[in-house]
Amino acid sequence: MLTLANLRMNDPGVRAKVDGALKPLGIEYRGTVRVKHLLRVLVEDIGIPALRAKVRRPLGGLKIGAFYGCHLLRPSDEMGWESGEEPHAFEDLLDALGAEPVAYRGRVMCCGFPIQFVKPETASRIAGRQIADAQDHGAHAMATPCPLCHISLDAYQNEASRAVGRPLAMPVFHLPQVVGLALGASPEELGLARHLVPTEPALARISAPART
Amino acid sequence: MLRHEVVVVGAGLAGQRAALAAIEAGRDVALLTKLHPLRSHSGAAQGGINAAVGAEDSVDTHIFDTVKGSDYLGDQDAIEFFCREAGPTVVEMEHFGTIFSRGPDGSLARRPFGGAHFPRTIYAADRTGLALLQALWERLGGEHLTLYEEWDLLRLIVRDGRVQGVVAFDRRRGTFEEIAAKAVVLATGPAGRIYARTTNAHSCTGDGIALAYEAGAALKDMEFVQFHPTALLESGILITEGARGEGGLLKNASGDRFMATYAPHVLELASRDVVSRAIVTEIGAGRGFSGPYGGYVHLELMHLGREKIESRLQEICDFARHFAGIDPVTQPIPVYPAQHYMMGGIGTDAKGATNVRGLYAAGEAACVSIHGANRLGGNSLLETLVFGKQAGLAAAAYADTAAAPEMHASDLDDATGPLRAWSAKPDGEDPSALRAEMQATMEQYVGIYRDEAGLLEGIRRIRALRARFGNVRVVDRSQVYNLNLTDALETGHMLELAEAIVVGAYARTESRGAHARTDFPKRDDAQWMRHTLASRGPEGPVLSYAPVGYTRWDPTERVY
Amino acid sequence: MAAGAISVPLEVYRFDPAHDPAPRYDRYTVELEPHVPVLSALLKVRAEIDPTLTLRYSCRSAICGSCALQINSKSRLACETPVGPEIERHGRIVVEPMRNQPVLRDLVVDQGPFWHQYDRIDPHLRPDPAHPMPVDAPTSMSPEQVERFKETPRCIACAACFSACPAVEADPTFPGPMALAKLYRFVVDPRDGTTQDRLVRIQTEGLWLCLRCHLCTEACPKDVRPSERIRDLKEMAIAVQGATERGSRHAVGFKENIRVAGTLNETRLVRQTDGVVGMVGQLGQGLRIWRKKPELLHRPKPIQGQAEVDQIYEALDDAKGGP
Ligand SMILES: Cc1cc2nc3c(=O)[nH]c(=O)nc-3n(C[C@H](O)[C@H](O)[C@H](O)COP(=O)(O)OP(=O)(O)OC[C@H]3O[C@@H](n4cnc5c(N)ncnc54)[C@H](O)[C@@H]3O)c2cc1C
Ligand code: FES
Repeated sequence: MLTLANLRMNDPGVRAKVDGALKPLGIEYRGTVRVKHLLRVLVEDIGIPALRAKVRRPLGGLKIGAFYGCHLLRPSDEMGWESGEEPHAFEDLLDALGAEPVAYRGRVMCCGFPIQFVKPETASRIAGRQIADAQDHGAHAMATPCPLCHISLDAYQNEASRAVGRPLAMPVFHLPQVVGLALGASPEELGLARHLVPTEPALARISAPART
Repeated sequence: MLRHEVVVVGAGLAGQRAALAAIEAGRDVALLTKLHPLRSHSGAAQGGINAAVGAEDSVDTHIFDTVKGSDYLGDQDAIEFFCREAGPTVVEMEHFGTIFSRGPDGSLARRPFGGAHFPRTIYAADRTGLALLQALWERLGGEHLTLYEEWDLLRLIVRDGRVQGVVAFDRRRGTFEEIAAKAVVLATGPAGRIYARTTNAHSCTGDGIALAYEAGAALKDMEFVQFHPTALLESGILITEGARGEGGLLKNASGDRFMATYAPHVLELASRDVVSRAIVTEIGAGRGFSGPYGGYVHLELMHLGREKIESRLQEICDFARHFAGIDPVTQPIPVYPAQHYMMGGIGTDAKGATNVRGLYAAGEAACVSIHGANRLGGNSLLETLVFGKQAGLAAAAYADTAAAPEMHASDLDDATGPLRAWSAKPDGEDPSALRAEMQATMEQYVGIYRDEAGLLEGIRRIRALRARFGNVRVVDRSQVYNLNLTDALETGHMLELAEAIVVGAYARTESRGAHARTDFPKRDDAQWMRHTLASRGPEGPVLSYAPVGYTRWDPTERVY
Repeated sequence: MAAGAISVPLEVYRFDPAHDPAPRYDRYTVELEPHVPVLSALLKVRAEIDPTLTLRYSCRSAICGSCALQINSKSRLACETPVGPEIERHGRIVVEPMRNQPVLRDLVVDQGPFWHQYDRIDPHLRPDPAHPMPVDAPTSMSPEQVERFKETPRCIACAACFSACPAVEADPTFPGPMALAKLYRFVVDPRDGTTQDRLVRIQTEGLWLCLRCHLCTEACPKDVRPSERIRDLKEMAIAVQGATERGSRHAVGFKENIRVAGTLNETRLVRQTDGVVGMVGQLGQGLRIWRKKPELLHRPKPIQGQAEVDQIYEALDDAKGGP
């Protein structure tokens, strides 16, 4: 979203309008801000090899369905990063953390959140489809870099399950939580107890011994 | 049985315009088409549509350019009517909602096109056909119309000298259907797939022309086939004249700009037939490139620079990149001449009437003739609309007074019996193999240059293929969307037309417009300023000739 | 085999509902140069291996819109998607029919649902009888007015967007990307006299179900960018009618929220979107969340500098000519 806002600021008309509004406050937008998502910082600036080296508790045995969220990827020609339909950065990262990434179509789909307040049944059906897809492909958990996707997939999972008419029990991690886990942070530090869908079953899957 | 007053077959620009006219005349109209209307080949036209609306231009100049372009085989009376209708037709399409490109003053933008004295080609970016097709369908779709979508015409029922209806094949359900109709308008479009190399879509198989021929209609001027000099190697996708207009160069394998030999003054900008012949001559003399898809030459744009190529020749750039894997900024584009347009077709008068009562035709399937021996770019989109409307009006007027049609119980079986036999055979000929052989034969013997020996060989081979087609076999047994069956149907149709083309070409011992005989290199007005008519006889096409409509333009030599 | 050809393994969805108990995937391998489109690969299979393989195609130049299908799960035109990059990325090419339209046979789908949605947006120019078009002359339209159509006139109705859209998949009342882009084309047409009615009507007929996921824009072979035109329609709808629907109330409420506090107040936003009555429906959910994340439902304190935020809003409102 911010990347796109930044792009729109390149339009002289938009820029003039915004600067006009900021002027009374003595602020000006110089266009020097670079917007970069955490996932991108992790794989590009820190880098997969460096991350791999930092892993204390490899997530071996844990199959995770990466769930990208739309706004990180698309429109891909404007985001100028990964393919909008066949990205791999998140899977690369999960692999570096020792987890097993799951290939499933829903990983690049929408979580339904944008219409949660417009038509909750439809929103939940969309969330339910993606969770069910991950489940059908063997995921023990999902992970998402987007906080709104997280609400949709975790907080509303009950509704999602009802909407698709099948039981779902899919722990959903935030991106920093999976990284934190692998780097040795404790579940308490990561606030895993505050998820609506319990994360313990997923944690119990981790079989690789911790490195010290 | 289904029943309509007017059945229009084909939903490209010509068919849709005919349907609209017949509906506005108060008739109950059905539109029957093997493709969804928006998927018709009209949508592929890029360049534009002609109308002399500019202050410096005049209808008379448009008429003259068209008469001269036709190499004096166009009917001058029909051409006069056609050019007068151009302005109102384009205005009407604008009012229907066509999104045309505009000049700074809000007027319709115009571009120059080959063979025209003034820039008179009105356009919608590089997608004029699509823009017209969308607008017309948006207009027609709001009318009361029965649409038989993805239905193939199988046969015209003609009895007592008049049309009684049609038999068709519903691709999606796999059923055969009868529709009784007082009048039928054929607007089934081009037949380019008779040739191996064509700019036409896969669906352009001349079905309507062949079925009209089978039903007793005379075909006119079938030997006149226009080739476009620059089509992409392998796929045949059109690279428009714009590429040469912007400064593109044609080079042979030694890197020579060979057009200097053939048209020293205008070089690459010579007319389509001249450039096409030059390329074929170069390749024939061993000066072209050769590869798995046959001989070709290079169209070079590199010297124009990335910026110009990507901004001014956007669509050509996309085509080359997507369909040939060539980046025109850094690489030459391999091109060859490909079949592009059929000047001939179902013979009609300027109202779209054929020699069969109740049967009308319009668009590329028809031959009025306004294109004569050679069509000018931008005139065929106009033709579909002008004569589509005329055919729709005439069909509606006829249907208003015609007696109720009479279909017989046996009509359906008669029309579908052979098809069912194709599927019942234990073995036989593969329709796509026959198609490929026909295409190669036409390419080799009835292409850009023709001569007696080659045409005789062409006749022999096409007749042999027709005989083999008698034993065609359909292996697909499914009811639903049986492409193997439609392949066979289309191949049968094209073989009929191929024979009419080659026989007509053999008989015409002169060179005129797109018909170039190496053994008769001169135009012969005394003997040949007349239309060829081909009627279907038991032994193949029976030829007769008809005079050219003449008003005020005396033939002169066609030089540019 | 042509120079530079590669081996192209295909896995093609096959299903004839009348004869087959279930769909299957047939495997074929053809030799082709990498730039050759998937359509050519499929036609080669038809011509040389299996003439019963069924698909729609016509122009082979990305203009007739016949050949959209799924290529390695992406909705694409077969005639415009080269085999090389697919093989590089996936090692094979899985070809399946489009989604969200029932399969008739193999790769051919029934496009009924797609055309139904197209018809729903009234795809006909409706001139204003009070402003008739000029007689015998084209309407005058400036190049800037033509620009306003953006890329929507390029649409070839291939339905790739319809196949890719998760909202279409989940809700039959959503018109889908193509129909909405087509609606946009009529709304910005200076010759159309029903712009306002069109915008008012679409507010209750599915406009706000767009997820803004941009999957349509990724799939579109013609760069029509339906998701962006839908965003424009939303803005125009609010401009002509105000925020009357849950979707538009949410959008406007979001903006107002920031103005008041400089940050989001979720409870307040729900109230603005759904009204107090509607809010009761969200209560159960609210309680469950509150137990785990109490801070979410607290009224957030206005941020530092909230006054400045308000000032910015004021300046922007002034620029627009009033709130
Ligand atoms: C690449 C290209 C570019 C061109 N550019 C230009 C240009 O810039 N300007 C110009 O003036 N001309 C141009 N032309 C020529 C022009 O586009 C065509 O002559 C014209 O569009 C033909 O229109 P039509 O309505 O006759 O046929 P089409 O649009 O081809 O429609 C034929 C219809 O018949 C139906 N049909 C066919 N067979 C059957 C059957 N058996 N049963 C039922 N239905 C059937 C099809 O479904 C289709 O709806 C171009 C042609 C090509 C190939
Ligand atoms: S075949 Fe026409 S769009 Fe692909």
